[in-house]
Amino acid sequence: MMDQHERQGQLGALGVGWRPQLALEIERRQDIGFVEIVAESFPNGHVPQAIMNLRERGLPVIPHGVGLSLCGAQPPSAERLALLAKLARHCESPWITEHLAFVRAGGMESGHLLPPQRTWEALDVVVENIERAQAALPVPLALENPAALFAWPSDQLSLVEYLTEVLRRTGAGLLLDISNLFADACNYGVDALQVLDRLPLERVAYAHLAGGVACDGFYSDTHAHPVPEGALDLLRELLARRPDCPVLLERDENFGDLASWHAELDVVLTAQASAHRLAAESSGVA
Amino acid sequence: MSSARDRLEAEQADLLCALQRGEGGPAGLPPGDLKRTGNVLRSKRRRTLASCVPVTVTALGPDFPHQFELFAQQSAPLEDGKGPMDARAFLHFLQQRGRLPREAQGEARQLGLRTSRWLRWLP
Repeated sequence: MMDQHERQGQLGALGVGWRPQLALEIERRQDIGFVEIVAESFPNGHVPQAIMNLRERGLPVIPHGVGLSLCGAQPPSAERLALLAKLARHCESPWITEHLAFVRAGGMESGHLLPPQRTWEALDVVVENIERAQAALPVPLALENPAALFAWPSDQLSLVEYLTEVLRRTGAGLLLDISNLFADACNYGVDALQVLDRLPLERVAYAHLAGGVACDGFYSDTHAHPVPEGALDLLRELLARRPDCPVLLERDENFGDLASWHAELDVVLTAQASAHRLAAESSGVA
Repeated sequence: MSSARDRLEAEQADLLCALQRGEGGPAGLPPGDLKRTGNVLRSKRRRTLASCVPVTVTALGPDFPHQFELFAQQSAPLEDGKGPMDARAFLHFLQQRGRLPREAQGEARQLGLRTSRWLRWLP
């Protein structure tokens, strides 16, 4: 069985979130090394030919779920797990990714990823949910840190304590969303560099990067605005610690400005190249 | 469900109810945080819906935000990825109120709504 390092090596350095509006640009851009598809966008488990064309070109395709609600009280739905599994088999994916968040409770949907209660009791429930999901999925699961829209008054663990404990107990990979970490740093004073220093970065399957906007003193990770320089700085800090980390750019709206999307991809490539160069220099390799 | 799951469900359901109402929620949660979270969720819902029915939104013009707020107050959010269903519900809401712009009828039909000047005579 492939170990995590081998799985990470399957991904190219640069990834993008596949959206129909970006299909042609993704096909044309030859330096893209992997794509992510939102699982719930393909409810029957079949993906468009444009995605299978990328597979035929050798690009890994990763199903990224948004509806499993792993941090909710209900165990993950068998139907949703089956969809993720079907997509992963169809696309021969090395990973399935989802969120450390909840999206439903009491028969109601939130319509968006909401932060988990970071208590020891809630953590036990979440670990059990993750273990149930892992048992049902054909490939390893990597879990994404969401941006916190609010802080639960009951929280007992810090963000890095929570993430580390989840990873320790479940063996899951980490989809480290740099933009969400940046949002938490802006909005809640999270020491993002300390988080990077304390996380087991060898467990990071890949990183997410996306744009956002500040409004009324609160930064929102919208996936619709430019990537701020602060988030890019944080990405460079991650790459300084893990130069080989694959990075995936997400954009969900604002497809009229494709020049900026291409420019942001180029910035990621530049940051990765710089990190590799610095790592080589510091190890004395010419 | 275990008692831990029961407590988790109760707390999270309480929060979702509070987000829909615009008040209440877990003890100790600042009202400003609740309001801001509700605004962010509604903003995302509005943007997603607008991307599904751009012609309708353009036709409504400055009336769109108001009509959307009225709609959002009386209809619970759907799960992520169900934007077209939410958009269909919004157009139906407009239709029932006699507010569906003529220019929006194409989008309404695409989403499976019946559009006809004689609709009101149908049982």
